[in-house]
Amino acid sequence: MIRVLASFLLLAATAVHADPPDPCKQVRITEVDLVTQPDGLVAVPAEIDDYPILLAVDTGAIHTVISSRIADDLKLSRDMSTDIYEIVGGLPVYRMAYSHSFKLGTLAAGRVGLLVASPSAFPIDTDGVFGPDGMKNYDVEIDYAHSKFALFSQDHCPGRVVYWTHTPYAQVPMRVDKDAHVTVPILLDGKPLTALIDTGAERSFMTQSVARDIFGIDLGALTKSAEVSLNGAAPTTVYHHDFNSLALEGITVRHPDIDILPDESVGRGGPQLVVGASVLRQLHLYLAYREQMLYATPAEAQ
Amino acid sequence: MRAGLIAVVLLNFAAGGALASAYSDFNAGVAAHNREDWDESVTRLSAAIDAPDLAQTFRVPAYIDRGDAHAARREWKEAIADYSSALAIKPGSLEGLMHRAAIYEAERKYGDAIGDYAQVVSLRPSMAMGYEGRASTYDDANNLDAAIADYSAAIAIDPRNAADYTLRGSAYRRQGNFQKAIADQNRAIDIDSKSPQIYFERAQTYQDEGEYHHAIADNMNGLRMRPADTDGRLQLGLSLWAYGRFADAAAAFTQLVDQRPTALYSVLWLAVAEARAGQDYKTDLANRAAKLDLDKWPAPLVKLYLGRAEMRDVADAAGADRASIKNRMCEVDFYDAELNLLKGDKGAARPQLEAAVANCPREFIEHDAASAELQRLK
Repeated sequence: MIRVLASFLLLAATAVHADPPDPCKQVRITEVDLVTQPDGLVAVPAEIDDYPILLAVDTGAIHTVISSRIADDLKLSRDMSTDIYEIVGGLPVYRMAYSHSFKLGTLAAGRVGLLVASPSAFPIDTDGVFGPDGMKNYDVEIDYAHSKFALFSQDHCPGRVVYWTHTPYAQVPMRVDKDAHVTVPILLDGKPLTALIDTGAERSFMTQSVARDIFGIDLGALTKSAEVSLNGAAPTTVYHHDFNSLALEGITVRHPDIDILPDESVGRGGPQLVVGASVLRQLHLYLAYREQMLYATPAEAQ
Repeated sequence: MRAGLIAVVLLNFAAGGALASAYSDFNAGVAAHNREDWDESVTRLSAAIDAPDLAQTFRVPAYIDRGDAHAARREWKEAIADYSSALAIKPGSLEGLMHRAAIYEAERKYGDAIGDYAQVVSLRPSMAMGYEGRASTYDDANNLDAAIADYSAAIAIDPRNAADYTLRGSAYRRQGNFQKAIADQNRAIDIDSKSPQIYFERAQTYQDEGEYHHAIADNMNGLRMRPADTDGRLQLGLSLWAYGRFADAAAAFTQLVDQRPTALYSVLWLAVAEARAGQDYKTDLANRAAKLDLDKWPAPLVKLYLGRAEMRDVADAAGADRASIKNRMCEVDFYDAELNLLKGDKGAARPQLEAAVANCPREFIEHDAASAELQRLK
């Protein structure tokens, strides 16, 4: 798996930035249009071996993953990953494919190792996910309302990144773990939780344990429930509870859409809350991985 | 400027009003779609679509999601219009094509469905889903050769998909190719041994083949996994009846009728099985008849078994609906043949059973039951 990370470290901008040194200047490395899917997830256009693909932006992924269909079509060389990974829903992922080239906007890399999963793990119009291994060496801006995805250099002065508005914004310390997953402190109905920022999750969700132990929710009393297949795995029962507010420092999302899932479908040691696209789409996000700071404004702030 | 003391409150989930932007309507509509709140989804997405400032990039997902919401409300025309609007903006939208095809299929517009699935296959020849959708449509249209070809194409792409083997097996069964059907269903069980549906499908093949003891075993396996499956319970009763285990069949039909006490055919079959098991079917049927709607078909047959109607009444009722007279008459032949067998009149029963086999559509349970009865009469 180390090879995957190393490959993405080598993503290089073809654009030349020859401005005079200004330690606080924010340098945009590349920008591409986001493609919004019917489920609300967003995807970026990329190219593998000059073949155009669409990858869902997924900060909660293990790594960048492509559909086995793409790997087959492009006849990419394959081997096994050193570990077996599970994506939400319990689907195992353990095959690797290697590109000759990988492009995202003006960024280009040579051989890149990509995990391979069944096409059923992805929305029909996408070919995989762009994971945190491809993002963590940059600052990442996700502008849902204007459908823009940008990568910035991490060489800038702390706190000087919110260029798109003069209105108030949230600045929240974020923890970046070894898999480059981002967690932040939030308040849900006034109770403090640690939340994973997961742009690849269509909905936001917590486990039944958290719902019961922290919020005292009686699952038997919930009226809304559904059988949902997560990433093509066997259907699991999902409950829905109407929370009042989710607060990310100064920004409050009223009536956040949050599901309650069985503990086993999230896995042990998972986050208390996963904040997915149902909430994130209401924000304009800037994830400064090295600075370990999340900046956010309302989506349409200008 | 950092937000410290000033709370920025997002209004996206507030009731739609002057403050709601096209983007927030879009978001709220997508969120409602994702939680299957179809009315809210239509309302908010309509507001978004009607707003001139909704960015073009959001229009395709907005139309597709509103199409889904209309489809969930069984508003087929509106759903197709929305998917078509999405496809007018983005002709290669696989989601738009797949969803519109599914509606065409549900509406039995098989040509249109096949056209959309063909586009999916053309755009993504290495994706099984397009072949599977088209196979299902051919299947519905009873074009079994074409269905089998497309299921085979899907299997070639994804050889670990148990559903494709099961469905292809079903198509082979309906062609009368039992050997290939069983091979496919065995393969499906190898891949997914925990699916009751595959056992029920294989049971149906064994039933059609006349291998009733195997059919009984598979139906019981399926019901162990899904005890509340009424179709499986009906199949078990029929396989037990065909095998001549009438008392066991009556027990299975009793369970079925307990699950759905107003289902006329289930009650009728309970009477047929109880009669052949030498039980007091008339008393049981009279007790259960109170819960039945005796004004619709096949109520005249229930009345015939109760002794409250004559054959001419049944024939009159069967002939009252010209569109289904042939199917109803084949049913009359079978159920009256059973009464004749009860009276020991095999001479009267045999031609009725032969007529049922000849005239009942292949998928009618009376067709298989008449075949099984004729075997017993040999």
